Amino acid sequence: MNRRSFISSSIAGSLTFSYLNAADIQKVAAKAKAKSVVYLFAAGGLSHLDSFNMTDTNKEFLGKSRPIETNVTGYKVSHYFPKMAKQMNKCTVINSMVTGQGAHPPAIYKMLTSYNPRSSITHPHLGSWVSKMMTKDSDAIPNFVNVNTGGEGSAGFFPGMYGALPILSPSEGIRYINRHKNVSPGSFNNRMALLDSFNKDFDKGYANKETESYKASYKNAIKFMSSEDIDAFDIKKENKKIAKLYGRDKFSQGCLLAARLVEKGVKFIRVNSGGWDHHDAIYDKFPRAANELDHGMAALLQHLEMKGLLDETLVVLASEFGRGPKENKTKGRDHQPKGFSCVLAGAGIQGGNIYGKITSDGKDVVDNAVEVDDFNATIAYAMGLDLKHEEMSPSGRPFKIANKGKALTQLF
Amino acid sequence: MYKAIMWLALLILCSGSVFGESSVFTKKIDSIISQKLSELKQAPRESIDDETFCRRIYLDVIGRIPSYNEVNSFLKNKSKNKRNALVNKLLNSKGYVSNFTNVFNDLLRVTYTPDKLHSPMNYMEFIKDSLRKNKAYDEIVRDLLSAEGELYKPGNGQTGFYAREVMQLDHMSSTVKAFLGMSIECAQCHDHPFDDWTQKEFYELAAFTTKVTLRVDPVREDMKPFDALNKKFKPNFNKWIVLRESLRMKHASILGNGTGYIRLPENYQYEDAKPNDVMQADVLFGAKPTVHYKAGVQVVQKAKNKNNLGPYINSKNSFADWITSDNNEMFVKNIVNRMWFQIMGSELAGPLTSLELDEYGKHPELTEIMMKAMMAVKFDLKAFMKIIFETKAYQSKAYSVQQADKKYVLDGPVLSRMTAENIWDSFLSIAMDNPDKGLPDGFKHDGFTYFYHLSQKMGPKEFEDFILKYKFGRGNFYKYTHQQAEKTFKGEKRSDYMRASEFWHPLKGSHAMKMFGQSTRELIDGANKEPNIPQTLLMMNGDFEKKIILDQKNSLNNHLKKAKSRQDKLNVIFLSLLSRQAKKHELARLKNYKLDAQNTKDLIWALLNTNEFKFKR
Repeated sequence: MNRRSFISSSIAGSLTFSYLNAADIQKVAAKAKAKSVVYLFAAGGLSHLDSFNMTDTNKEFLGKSRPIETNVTGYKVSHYFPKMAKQMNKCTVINSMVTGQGAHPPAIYKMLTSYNPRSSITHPHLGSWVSKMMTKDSDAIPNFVNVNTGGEGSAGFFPGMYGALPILSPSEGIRYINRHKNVSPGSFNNRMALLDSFNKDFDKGYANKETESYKASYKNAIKFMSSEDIDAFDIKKENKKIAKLYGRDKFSQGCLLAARLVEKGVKFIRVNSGGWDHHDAIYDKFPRAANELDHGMAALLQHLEMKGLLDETLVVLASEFGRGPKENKTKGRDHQPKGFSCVLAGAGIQGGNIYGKITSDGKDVVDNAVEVDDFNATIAYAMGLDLKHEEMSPSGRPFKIANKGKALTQLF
Repeated sequence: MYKAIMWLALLILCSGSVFGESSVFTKKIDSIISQKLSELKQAPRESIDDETFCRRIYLDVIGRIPSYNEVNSFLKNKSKNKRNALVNKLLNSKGYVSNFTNVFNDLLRVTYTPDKLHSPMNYMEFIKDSLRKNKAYDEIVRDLLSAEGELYKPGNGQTGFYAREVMQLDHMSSTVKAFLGMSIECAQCHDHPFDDWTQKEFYELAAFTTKVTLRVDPVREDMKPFDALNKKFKPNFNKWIVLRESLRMKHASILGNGTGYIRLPENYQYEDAKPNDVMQADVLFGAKPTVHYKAGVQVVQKAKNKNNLGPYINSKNSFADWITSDNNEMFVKNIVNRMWFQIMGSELAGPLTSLELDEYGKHPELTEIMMKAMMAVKFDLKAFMKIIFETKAYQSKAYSVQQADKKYVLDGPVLSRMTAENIWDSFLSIAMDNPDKGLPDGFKHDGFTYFYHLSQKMGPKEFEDFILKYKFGRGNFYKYTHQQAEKTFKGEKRSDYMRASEFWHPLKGSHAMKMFGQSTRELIDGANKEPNIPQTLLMMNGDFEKKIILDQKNSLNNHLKKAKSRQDKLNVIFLSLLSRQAKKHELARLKNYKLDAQNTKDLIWALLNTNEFKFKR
């Protein structure tokens, strides 16, 4: 049997392999409380020493950050995060994150996909995995939404439909979701009827799977345009009291949008926050970025709690790596792939919990190192997903949502 | 083995006879196909009319549908030989360069690569230049494999090939995939479970490119004169970073030409060698090219420094010898398979990136004659395509997989969605009479090549003056050099509505081409042709309403204004969008459809959104 016939026979046999027995699956399901994930991503490398790790290293490494009290006794965060200080009782902070990647593109890729980049395959993002494993026929909205960033490439080797629906600007909502302003409803219907008749002609000579899927995509788009759930994408419609919790900036507004999508049952929403790569003059730039992150994330946690959704929503704050303990010559901090911080909240995650520790010189992890794979496995576990579930790439190689990661079940 | 002997015999036959006339191959291909069809008792496919031919050949050669004027003049042409004449005209146009730049961009994954290839534009210029000169394909590949020197030096863009992928093993996997059509990447980490390739063989192959290195910053010697300035600027990030970036533009280079040795990994697990053993370069199959070793394997093995893998001996050129050798059947088979796929939309010899040695596809005689044709035209891609374009097979009705009651035996093109680039360029064909006007005729600077050029006469003093004078930050510096580069270009200025081949990659924001599945160029053949919701919403409610339907100055609306009768208007609309006149049954259906202003817009919208518009037939 050559390679290709092996692959095709294994595809014919079954696309996926599962090693869990029924009892195991039940166990996973019983613990899983997350129906949705809101994944906040600080792209560029969030300085853990100016945010959530104020205790492990020597004070001299904290730069201009001052530790302030939180609502968890004995745990302090940076004074740039006053609003999150009041939410720490909902959070587990992991201070012992490690990644094998020290440059942005591969480190971001690793964080979002659980795999290192290769030139022979593109891996699906976490959200795509969730969408692939959890989407039901009846779902009107895509289950993976990217806010403040595009969706291209996010499906990896999965079909395009599992890629992220991109929302480039939370205030604008979904691009082109409404009829063009110059087109009346009558005209719109006229257009669709004409389109239908021409497509039917074309079918007579050329119909196949691809042309059918194009016809279906127009049907779905119309369904989407007229779906009541579309309102969820319009953040202007949010109750004023709740909207007031959030800041006016793009990140905060993105968090508001994410919470609205959680209410509609969307499974995975990533909200992007950019510009954390503070190699120079960190204290000129950090305060504003931190203020937005602080405001948005704290409001999100309050919002979900008020709606009674926090118990079934996992909120994640992640970054591709942290920043080093020592100020460089241009008054910035450089990349730190070992011993950075990520935060988890909701969905049964213990509140007021600190996990892992870094050395006092800030250069390494003391104990409980959490690899990116383990971190992603924890997210998948919270969703009740089978970590051993394999999907085959087009060339027949098996991949898993969290690669070789093991979930940190002790955090729940 | 039998196949190999046959192949050799064919080669000898070829070289012994004269194949000046491509029509010899054209006829041979048609006869092989018709023989196959008669064996299967299948009737040949129906041939296509001038309208269908015109649209298809425009798409295949220059990557866009014909404009209203172009299709009209072709249809009105009474010359008997007009199809071949059109093929020649298009192959020699700027549109051809534009279209095949997209094709090579995808194959070579030409894109901005952070920390490595800071601008992909000079690399693209290499491709465009090669296509303009109609450089033979084997020569293009040889240029890529033997590239070295400065990245942003005008005329040296082929260095992008090594800068794009600096990890030696990944680079080798991609190279083998692109030029031999084979997937050997599994053997990077372990013996291949089903194919013949072992991890040791993979390493031996990779050894050809050992120490072919990308150096982004100036080497010590070049940096020395700038040390003082660097120190002076260090406290000011904006100045310092511009100095760094500008020195990179001048000095970023591919250094080293291969040592021909490699070390097995520390965790090597097979019996045939030990971990860390030094291996000599060797090929996967066929005759090993000459490698001019200066040091023996034992000497390198015993070197104290594990990174010492011997002196430079230009082993990458030995590798180029092997890849592009006339005797490398996979090299020929791969490009034939790719060109066939490009034009016909089907796999002639097998899957594009996982061909096997003894694989010739479901019609081996056809594959073999195509390979002979490629050898006969000496890798002249235009001549090769001409052979295909002139066949009856090419000029027959496109096959749609689920429709046919007959078997598909590679007897013509298959229906496929246009690529993202083709769709974009076709929008231009509707809105402009001559979308190719803005395409450059020769080398065009971008900011990187422009500054490279400028910096040749600049020492530390001039760098300092330059940086201080213009008060740059990094972003402003890029912007400035790009603007200056643009000023050197005499042709049409860049705009949002230019041919796909002229854009920076990756495209910014949510460009239509991204939504239509343009490759991110992370992978070879990474494009997709599937619908998705943002794409469909864009087509239904997006900017095309403004650009194509409402814009009274675009060529579609200009032609509509000139059209007097209802029949003329319908002609303008159908020819502009679908490259054909309305058919009888369509006219009957539209009999009571008033062509007032709104209904005209609605009809244009409908045709633009049809499957007929999106699919190449």
